[in-house]
Amino acid sequence: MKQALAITDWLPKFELPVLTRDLRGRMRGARAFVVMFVYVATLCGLAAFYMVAALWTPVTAGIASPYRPAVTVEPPGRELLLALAWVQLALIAVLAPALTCGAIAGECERRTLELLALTTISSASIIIGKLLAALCYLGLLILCAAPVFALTVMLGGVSPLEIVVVDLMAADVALLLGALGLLASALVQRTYVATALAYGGMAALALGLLGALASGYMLIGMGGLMLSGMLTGMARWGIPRWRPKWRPQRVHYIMIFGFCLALVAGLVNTPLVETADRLLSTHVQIVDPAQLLASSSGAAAVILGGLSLAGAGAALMATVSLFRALRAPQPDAFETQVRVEREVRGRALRREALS
Amino acid sequence: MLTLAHLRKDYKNLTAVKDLSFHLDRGDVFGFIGPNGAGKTTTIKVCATLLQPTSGTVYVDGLDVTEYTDEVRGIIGYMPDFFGVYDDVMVWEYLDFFAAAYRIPPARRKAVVDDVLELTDLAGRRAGYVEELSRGMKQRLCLAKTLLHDPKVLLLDEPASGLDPRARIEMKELLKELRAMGKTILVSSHILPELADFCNKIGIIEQGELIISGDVEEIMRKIQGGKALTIELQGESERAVALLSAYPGVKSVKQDDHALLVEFSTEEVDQTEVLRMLIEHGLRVQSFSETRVGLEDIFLRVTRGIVS
Repeated sequence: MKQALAITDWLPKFELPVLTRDLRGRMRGARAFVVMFVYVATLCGLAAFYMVAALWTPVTAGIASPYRPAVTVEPPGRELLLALAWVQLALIAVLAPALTCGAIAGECERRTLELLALTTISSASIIIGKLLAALCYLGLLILCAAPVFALTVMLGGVSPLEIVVVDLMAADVALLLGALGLLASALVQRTYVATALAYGGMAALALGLLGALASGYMLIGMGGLMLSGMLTGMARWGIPRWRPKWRPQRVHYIMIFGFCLALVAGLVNTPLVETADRLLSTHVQIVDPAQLLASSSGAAAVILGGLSLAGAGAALMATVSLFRALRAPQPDAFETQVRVEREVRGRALRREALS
Repeated sequence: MLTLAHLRKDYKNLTAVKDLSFHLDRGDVFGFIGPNGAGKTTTIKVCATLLQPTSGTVYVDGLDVTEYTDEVRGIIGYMPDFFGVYDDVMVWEYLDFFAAAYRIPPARRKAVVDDVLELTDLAGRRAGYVEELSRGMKQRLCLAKTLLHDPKVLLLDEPASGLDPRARIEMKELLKELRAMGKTILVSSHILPELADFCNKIGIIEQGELIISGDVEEIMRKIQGGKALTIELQGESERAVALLSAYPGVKSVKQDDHALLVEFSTEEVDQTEVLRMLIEHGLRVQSFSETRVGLEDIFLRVTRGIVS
């Protein structure tokens, strides 16, 4: 029976109920507001501290003479913007994994995963919903701090566009680290382990970023992540075509990751990386992260945006595959195993008591 | 509708389920009875596509649960014995979330949620928070969530566990309504009275083995073997016991408080003769009726009570 499908018939396939539920519930607890307060208060505090310091310190800019070089001073707004931008990046970098690395592991621990797994909605919808939920909240935080950034315009030397660029960069970091936190949450089933994994990964990334932005190492790292994402996707779609009864398990996905990470580590010292490094440093004028941040061309935002999208995309692909494996019939249900062990112990004790 | 064929589930040092086989037709209500740790939850989890069997197959509506997992999930409704709820979410939002997760079109969603709230008698608590509900209401909410996508088969793992007597009765009434809707229901419990007048098929499982399964009436007849009478007398029960034990066709006479349970070895017994005999001997009969062996008796006779 052929009927024209209305848009509302298609909608359930692409809907994000996880996002809707999170949006409805998140702002009800006090915690969301406390975090928001701390976030804005930190940035306000920094701005206030800077204002007070600037007021009390005389700014001396001199005219260059043969006896005394000119002291070039940044316009006060620019200095404050730089400081605020860094603090915001740091805050977002700390918050983003915290929000997402309890996503799947927490559902496991709170025993809500079973009910969610049995629904007919796609795993991709669930995972993207969880990521977008975290991003919506982080976006809200960034927006809430906008007035503090507006202060820098008032102080001079900063155009509003640059504030947008700074906020975009914070959003990029949120995207990438949120996706990594989600991946960590899908890899391990205990929230505290996922947290440790997420922050460990973030530290490694941050070191890479600060140490050598857009170097070959970064590219290889991203390439490795994308490769593992693609391979896990293939494992889910490709292999069952060839061996129909085969079902991907979590251990298979973890093996793929291990392999890709080993590949990345192995390639680090190869000529490939050195060539890439050389190419990038000659063709892209990026020298200093601080300069990068301060540049008004928006190039930083674009590069970081590209990297975040690529990294987040790869992490998401892998997370969806892992979640699918979690949703499939498990060989060993978590709490059943616990109960079985308790039962076995109980029987053994009873047998001892009787004999 | 639901067929288990030689299902087996092994864990590292224990076999939870050994060679389970039974079949449910459409509209059957199957009472899955067994002590704690017998393997009920494991079996239900396999049927609900959450657990992989070691060997054997489960078919839901003709579909193998391990091969057609997604299709089967659209047909079954599973209610676990332990479950969590989300914080800071209202009752209707919780159901709306699951309705969306079951891909119910937005146009129909509100009506479905309202219907299901009405059915489980939670309509008054629509705007309350899920975490504030009492245990009984949470169970009802879980059942409501299970019914959203109108599943043909319901798998309920101890739906009345932890409920007070009133809530238990309400749950039973609810399940009776579901039975009237034509759903195939598998209910597991280790408390018998609530299943007694509700199931038309039972299966008793102990230590992973299905000891007995089939139609309730048939099993009762098989176990009982013959007619049973409950007689209450005013005094002189020892004489009555002696008389009844000597009566032809009597299998056993048991005294329970002040009532005597007389079991015969055949169904062909004339009760009026027995009553006449007792009265002729001058015994004062207070009450005299035929009884059927209850589910508890079947359970006690059939299980060995090793795990309790």
